[in-house]
Amino acid sequence: MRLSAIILLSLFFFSSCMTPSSNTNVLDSDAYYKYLSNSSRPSLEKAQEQLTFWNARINQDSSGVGDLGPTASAYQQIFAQTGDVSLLNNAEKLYKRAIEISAHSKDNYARSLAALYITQHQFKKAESIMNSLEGIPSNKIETDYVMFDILMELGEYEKAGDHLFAQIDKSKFNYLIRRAKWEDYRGNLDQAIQHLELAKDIAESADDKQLKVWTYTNIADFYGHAGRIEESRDHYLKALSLESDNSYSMKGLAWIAYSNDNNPAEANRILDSLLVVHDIPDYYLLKAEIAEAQGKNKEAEKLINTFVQKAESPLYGGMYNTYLIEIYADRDPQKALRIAQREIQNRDTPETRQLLALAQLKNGQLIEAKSTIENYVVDKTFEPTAALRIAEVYQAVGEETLSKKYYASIADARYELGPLTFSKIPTPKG
Amino acid sequence: MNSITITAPKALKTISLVALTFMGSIMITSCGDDDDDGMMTEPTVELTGTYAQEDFMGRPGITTVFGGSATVKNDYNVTAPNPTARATFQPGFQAQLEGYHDVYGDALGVALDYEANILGLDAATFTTVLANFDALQVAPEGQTTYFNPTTGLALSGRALTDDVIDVSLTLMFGGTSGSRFDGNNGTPQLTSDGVGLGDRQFMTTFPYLEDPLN
Repeated sequence: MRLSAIILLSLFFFSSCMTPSSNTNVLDSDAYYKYLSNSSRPSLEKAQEQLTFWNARINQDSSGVGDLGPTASAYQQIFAQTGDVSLLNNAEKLYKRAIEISAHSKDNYARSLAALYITQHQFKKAESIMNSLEGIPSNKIETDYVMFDILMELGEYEKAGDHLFAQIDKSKFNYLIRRAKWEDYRGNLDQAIQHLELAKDIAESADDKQLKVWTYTNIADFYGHAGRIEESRDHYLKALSLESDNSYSMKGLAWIAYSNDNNPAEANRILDSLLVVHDIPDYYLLKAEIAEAQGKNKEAEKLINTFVQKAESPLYGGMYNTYLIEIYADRDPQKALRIAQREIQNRDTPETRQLLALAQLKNGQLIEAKSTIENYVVDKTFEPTAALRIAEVYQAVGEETLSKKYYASIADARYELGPLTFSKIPTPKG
Repeated sequence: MNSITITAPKALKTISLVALTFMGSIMITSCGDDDDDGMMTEPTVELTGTYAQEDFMGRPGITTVFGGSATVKNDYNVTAPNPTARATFQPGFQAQLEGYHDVYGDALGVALDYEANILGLDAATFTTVLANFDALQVAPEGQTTYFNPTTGLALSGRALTDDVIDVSLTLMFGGTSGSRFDGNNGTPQLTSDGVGLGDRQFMTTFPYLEDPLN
């Protein structure tokens, strides 16, 4: 903790455009204690009720295509609540069957299946199911939206933009949230937030719980990235007040505790309460980072092992590949390189390319690493992680000036990167 | 050990479109240009372009009963539910309402005219209300009812137990008392279609309806 404060101070003198984190504590556990101690799962119960209902109808009349979609959707909701990834395969089967037997809504089910494949990180499959719609009457607007979602994941930003800006009505919720994603990709965080705020107005005027929860949690993330931590906290809490078992918001609060409030114990308390009901690999990874930040390296190692063991389950497919690449970069560089190359086959984005650069670096392929970042990462993304990687690669190849420039560009990204990663940024001299 | 670069959450995962069928629209005023001048500008929601009517056919009842011709029905369904746009439909609706009374009058062999209904609306006012404000409405916080005789609250939505047709018929033929032609005292039964709820049981939680009959 102290170390990062010192780094912050020195960075402050390094350049006037950097603003150190204020480090004002913003969390008050009274505000969310009731959600922590609450083991009831209303959202899960509701999803299970839906599943029972629609499943019973399928069993009675297996030809009823109308029951397949809601059943699949119920499986997806239960997955979101429990992390039980095998349920996604059930949903996939149902959507496929619906596409097969539906007479006039094939496009609708295809979009749902594509969205499911995105969740599973099977982006190419998502694209091919959408392409298979060619010649079938389809709702153009919704198809454009799904194509945008897929192409953004695949790193085909220009094409994604075509689908987005083809929209005539630019006041729709579905447009605004995607425009926000677009602006974020372009590095316009303020514009992204403003579009999400417009979407929030719609969700609130519709008074639709699901839309509100979705918007609050996502806008909370963005406020966090903009350094507006109090607003971030408030929106996670707003989501929780509507959905007491919203684990995503709890995880967001845990990040605030860890990264802004320098309170790893509290972050762990939140994560441990989540793990009781929602056992997904993500939490182990964050707990590992927190342990390492606390200097508990053995414990961190153990938590990483747990993460790897869970994340490598075949059921997840490649959903956790990006983290696995980073982990193996240290433990088994060649394996990291293999996963990175596979991941680039899956989606060729600045994010996956910077991971390839990391793997190349760890394999001693300095020239390749440099060429990877210069061709595929530099000026192609505004994510602090990418800037960090660029700086590391330049440092490794001895390009001190460039390295310093990129380290300096993330000097105010302490909250986003987290104190541990941030503490590893070399202190600028002079 | 090298740490993994976990960052602050930023998912912005798209929600499935199934969950997002809501079609809201908002209007905001432009506050500045979207130029790359380095200034922070409010995003402007662009409202230019060619718009197409999405749907106003949520409540086909009124136009079915009062529309008369297919052309009127189609025109009505694509006209925004506000007094300016809908004004042209009122005279036709009133003629239709009075026409129904003429038909029954002829059948009964008496002169018969519409009588102000239980809400106190005369023919012109009643058909103005129908023409101008007929749209599927939802009361997110208040009572959802087609018509509550106790409070007089009307058209804030439809509860499953609301007998929509009987309410409509009562408003058309019930007169000031609501029982002008209710089949009693030698009158024809015009205020009910005679179809009730049967033995259906509605629930207050999902799925709200009982299991279908096998």
